[in-house]
Order: sequence, then C-alpha cells, then structure tokens
Amino acid sequence: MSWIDDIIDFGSTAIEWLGGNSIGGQLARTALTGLALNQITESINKDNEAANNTTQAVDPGVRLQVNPDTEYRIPLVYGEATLGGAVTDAVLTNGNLTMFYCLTICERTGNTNLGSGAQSTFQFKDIYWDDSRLLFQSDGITVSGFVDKSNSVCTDYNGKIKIWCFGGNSTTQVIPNNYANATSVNAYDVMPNWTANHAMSDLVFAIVRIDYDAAAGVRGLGNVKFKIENSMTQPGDVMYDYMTNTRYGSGIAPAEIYAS
Amino acid sequence: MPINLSSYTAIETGLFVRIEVDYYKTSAGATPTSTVLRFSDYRGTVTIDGESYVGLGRLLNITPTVSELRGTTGSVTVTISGIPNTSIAEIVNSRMKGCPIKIYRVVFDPVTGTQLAITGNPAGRFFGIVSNYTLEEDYSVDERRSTNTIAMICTSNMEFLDNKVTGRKTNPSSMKQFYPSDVSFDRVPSLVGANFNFGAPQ
Repeated sequence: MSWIDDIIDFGSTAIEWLGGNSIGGQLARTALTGLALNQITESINKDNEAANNTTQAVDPGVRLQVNPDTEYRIPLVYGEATLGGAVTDAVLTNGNLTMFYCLTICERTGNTNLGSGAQSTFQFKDIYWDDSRLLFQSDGITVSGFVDKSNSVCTDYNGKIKIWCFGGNSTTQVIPNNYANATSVNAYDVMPNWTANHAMSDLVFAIVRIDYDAAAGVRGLGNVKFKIENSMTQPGDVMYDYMTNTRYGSGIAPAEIYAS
Repeated sequence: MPINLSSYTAIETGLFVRIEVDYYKTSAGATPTSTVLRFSDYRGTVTIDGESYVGLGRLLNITPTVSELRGTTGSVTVTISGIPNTSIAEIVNSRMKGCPIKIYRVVFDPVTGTQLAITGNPAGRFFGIVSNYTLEEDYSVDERRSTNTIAMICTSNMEFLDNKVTGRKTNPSSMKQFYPSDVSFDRVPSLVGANFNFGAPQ
C-alpha cells in the first residue's frame, strides 16, 4: 500500500468521524459552521464599509436659488458709493461646476460740464465678498484671495472666482483700480449664451464666474459689493444731469434750465 | 424778478396763457398737427414777444396763484366760457392732457393800452402741465341753445416732478422701453425661483 492510499484512508476516516453521531464529530461540525458564518459576516461588513466610503467621497453640491427682482429699480450713483448689484442673469455650466452671474449695479450717467463735456466714467475702487476685500491676480479679473476684517490675507479663493467689471455697456470693460490689463473683453464673450444684443445699454455691471470648490469654501455667490466712483462729482453737473435725463431723471428740457 | 411800478399812477394788468398742444385736431378725421394756443383775459388781441394773444376778456377766468420764496407745489384752474358748439370738436379730438402751459401777468398803460417797457414785464406766474380738463354744457331748453365751458386743471412743474416716477427696472419691458433691441434682462422673469445644483455630480 502506497503513502497516497494512507492519506486517502485518513481523509475517509475524518469525514466519517465528522459525519458520524459522535460527540466529537458534532462539536467539530458546529465549530466549522461557526467559522464559515464568521467569514461570511466579515466579508459582508467589508463590502458595506467600502460602500460607505464611496458615498462619503461624492460631494452632492449645493442647491442655489437666485431670486432676481423684476421690480428692482436700478440705482443712480454720483461721486463715490459702495453698493451691491441685482442678479439679472445666471447660468450653470461646465458639468454643474461653474456658475456665471450678471450683477447689475447702477445706471451710467450723462455728460459732465453741464451736459456739454465728456461722457461720465466709472471706476471700480474695491470689490468686497462677504465684507472681505478681494485681491486680484495681475490680470485684474481673477481673484487671488481676500483681506478679512482683521486685515489677514486668505488665499483660499485663489483662481476660483473671476470678476469682469463693465462701466457703461457690454463693450466697456473696466479693470479695478491698482490693476492693469491691456486686453479687454466684451461681456457677451464672457457670459454663456449671450450675444451682441445683450448690450447692457448704459449700465454699470459685473460678470462673476465661480468655480465650485467645497474645500475652499467656494459654494456660491457671496454678498458682493462694489465700491465705485463716478467721474461726475460737481454739484452743478449732478443737478443738471438729474434734471434733464429722460431715463432716470426729471426729463426737463435743457432749454428750460438757465445752465449758465 | 419784482416789477417797479412806483412811478405809475395807474396800470392795467392781464393774464396771458400759452398752451403748447402737440396733438391738435379740428375734427375727428383731421390730420393732427402741433399748435400753440394763446389767449388772455385782456381786451383785444395783444402781441407779446412776437406772439399774438387773443383777448377773451371776461370769458377767461384763472384761479389765483400763490407766490412763495421757496418752490412749492400748486395748481390753477383755467376756465374758458362761451365756447361755441362748433368748437367742441377741437377740444374733444385734441390731446390737451399733458400739454405744457405757461401763464404770464403783463402790465399795461391804461391810457394807451400798450405794454409797459419795464424790467420784469411780463412776469411769469405759473409754469406747469395740463393735468386734466372738464367740459360742462349748460343747455337751455327754452332758448334752445347751450353754453359750453372748459375748465383745465393745471399742475405746476414742482408738483409734476414730485409725482414723477422714473428709472429703469430689472425687467425686459422696462429695458425695451428705452432700448428696444437690448435683450439683457429677458431672462430675469424666468430666473425667479429657479434652482441651480451647483457642484452636483451629473
């Protein structure tokens, strides 16, 4: 008899012992069943843990609701003022990861020097996001960070937000003070779905682009305020403009006013 | 500007009314034109600043105005009586409401009936807008004739400015009122209540 036969005999004996009615066989069967159940339970738990880990990794994003007011009266700014803007358009693009907003700030005023001078112009002196002053990269468009109330600089927003400012219509881009950018763009080339007919006639406004980044806290439009300055500051110019303008003023005929 | 009348022992005054009517029609089928109505409560036709004013005498009545140092709101009523029935069509078919009206007081020499050549004459009394008008007909059955009276309620420029509401709103109709081809606000109504799942996986 070979050694292989010895192994077969031992196996047969062990199976018979396990399948038998002896106390030892019954205990062995119970132990083996418990071991098998334990392995199955561990396997299921591992699968559940893996599934849980997968769910936590997916960011569901945030549900944003913009509520533009169709009865909002566009304000008028002479001199310097800090004010917010009314949302007049919003677009979600780039696989839900980029939001564009159009914020209408104020009306563009008329000509200086009692209506006979140059067209009044607007400067963007500062832009605030949730009461923190925004800092821009060298292009004057891309946000590099912000300065909070304690005068600390935070760069969490770096590259996540872009703001294009316009001082009269869609083709008059204005770079905020202290920045320079020789290349200007049209608003309708920035805002998705806009055409040349989106002229934003005689309006001071801004296009805001936000790239979603939950880790950096960029999850939507903050409380944006613009510190702007109108070149029309002389009291006589202001009075004359407000009295004669037919769009936002009293519409008094210039001939009725002794401007001299 | 005050008028110095201290050197005159007697004067005559008259109120002169000038109404610019942009849409004036003499009948329903007539072509509308722009015209200026000029009349006064003085006797006869008088020429002032190159424009002749028809004298209506006692047929014209103008309620008193108040002069104040500070500009205040106020209104006057200009009443014209004795309008013939044939002239009613001119009033009904023309657009009197909203027409600019100016009322001047002119001082005359009572002897010669000529306008005194002194500084401040004529003097502006009221500048405003015809805000409303009423037509009253006094019909006499026995005499088989009627007398018509028109009363124009005029609002001063000050009150007009107080009531005026201007400015552009962030809606498409308001934008197109000033810039018909500008579609920048066309999406505003559809954005009201719209939700954006910002950052949500697709």
